Amino acid sequence: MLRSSITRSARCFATSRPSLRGAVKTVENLAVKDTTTVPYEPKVLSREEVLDTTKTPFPINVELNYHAPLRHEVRYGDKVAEIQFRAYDFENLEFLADFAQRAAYYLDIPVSGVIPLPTRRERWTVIRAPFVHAKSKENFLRLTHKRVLKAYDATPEVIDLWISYIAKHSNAGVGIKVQTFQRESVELVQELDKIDLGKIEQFNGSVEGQAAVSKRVQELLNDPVFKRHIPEEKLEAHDAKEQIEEKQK
Amino acid sequence: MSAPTKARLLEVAKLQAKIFHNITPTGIPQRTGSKILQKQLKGPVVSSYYGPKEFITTKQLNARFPLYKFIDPEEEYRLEVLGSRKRRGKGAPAKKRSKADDSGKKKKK
Amino acid sequence: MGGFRFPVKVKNPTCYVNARVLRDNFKREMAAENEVTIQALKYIARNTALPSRARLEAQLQLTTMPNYTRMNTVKDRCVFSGHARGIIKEFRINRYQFREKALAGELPGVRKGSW
Repeated sequence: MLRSSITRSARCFATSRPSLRGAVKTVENLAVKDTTTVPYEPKVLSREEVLDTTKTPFPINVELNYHAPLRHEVRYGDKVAEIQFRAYDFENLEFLADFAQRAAYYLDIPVSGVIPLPTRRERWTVIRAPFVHAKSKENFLRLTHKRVLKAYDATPEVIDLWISYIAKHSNAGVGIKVQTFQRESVELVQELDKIDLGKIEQFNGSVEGQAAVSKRVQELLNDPVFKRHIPEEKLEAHDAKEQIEEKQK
Repeated sequence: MSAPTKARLLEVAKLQAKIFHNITPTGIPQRTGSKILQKQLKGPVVSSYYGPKEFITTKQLNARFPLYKFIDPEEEYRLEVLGSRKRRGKGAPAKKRSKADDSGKKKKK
Repeated sequence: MGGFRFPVKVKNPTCYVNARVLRDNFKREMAAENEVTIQALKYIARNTALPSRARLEAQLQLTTMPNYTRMNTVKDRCVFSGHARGIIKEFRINRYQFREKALAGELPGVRKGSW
């Protein structure tokens, strides 16, 4: 337990500065040697600043909140996720986007900066009175602010972790929409061809409602009212064709 | 070049049907109705327009959490009005409990 | 025992209710319930691969279904007043209710506009 917490804190301090990197290493080594007696020696940028109340230095990851969020360099440019934040008021929105960016840094996810998207303006003009022909009108307006964060070069597991962390600490009135991208091998089509047609049910669930309709179609066609109009072999051919159609979707 | 003749158009349609495996005995491409099959169902959206069908009432709340007392303002107002009417002697008449009434029912049977 | 006013018993909504809202609610419930059947019948009727007699049968069944099962009979009504005109679709309310709620700050994000 202690070991895991130490490695996590070490991760928080990991920066590109070589001197600090060394410091982190020593902490990790200590943890391996003896898990019971670990001295509290957090490494900070400004060593001189010791808090009066706790007599401890100001932790670096707290101090970093006073500066612009740190970012990892995008190495391969493989976009894996896009998070869109939406809100009617931009204060909570900006805060959450900033938070997500900082969280991405500590999870080693290279992200783009917070990109603002065009604000959606919805306007309504209504008659001020209940009377239809009243002359006086009133205008109302709603602005939907949007921000986007793009994440690169990370595994789906890390992205899941990141997203659930953001969702857990999300702000009131801010909507989160996540798009994730995953690359498949070239042999995907061949693999799909291998799938057993008997297990087609699991695919039907993907398109909502479609399964219900096609099931009802089968029921109706097998109904005696319809069946007397349809030759036997035609119905079977139709069944097979429909299954193939669904498989293609 | 002149406009294509009807026969040529039919030939194109036949060829198209052959390429896209859409053949009928007449050779004309068929409509499979897959448009209808693919359409999203809007039933859940349409039926939920007026909000939830069941919403917990004050009575149910009180029964469920006996330690608390939830007040329904509308019900309180109704009881208040009823009380004031009764005090003025304008309440609902008492139910008939006389023997004549009972016997009248029996006679009908 | 009092009869139910509609051919099929449905649950009443918990929003503002009047006779017209109840009627519309009933239509909505029925349309949602019969949607799958109607789509299936339409699919059979429009599918030229199926024998024409079966398609005709499907079309006949479609026409014999009661009117309240059709999606196009539903009408958006204000959930606060039951009014059927001047509905603002995003909020499902009437223009006057919209103004009152917006001024009271009950619609998230909506404020008085000037441009």
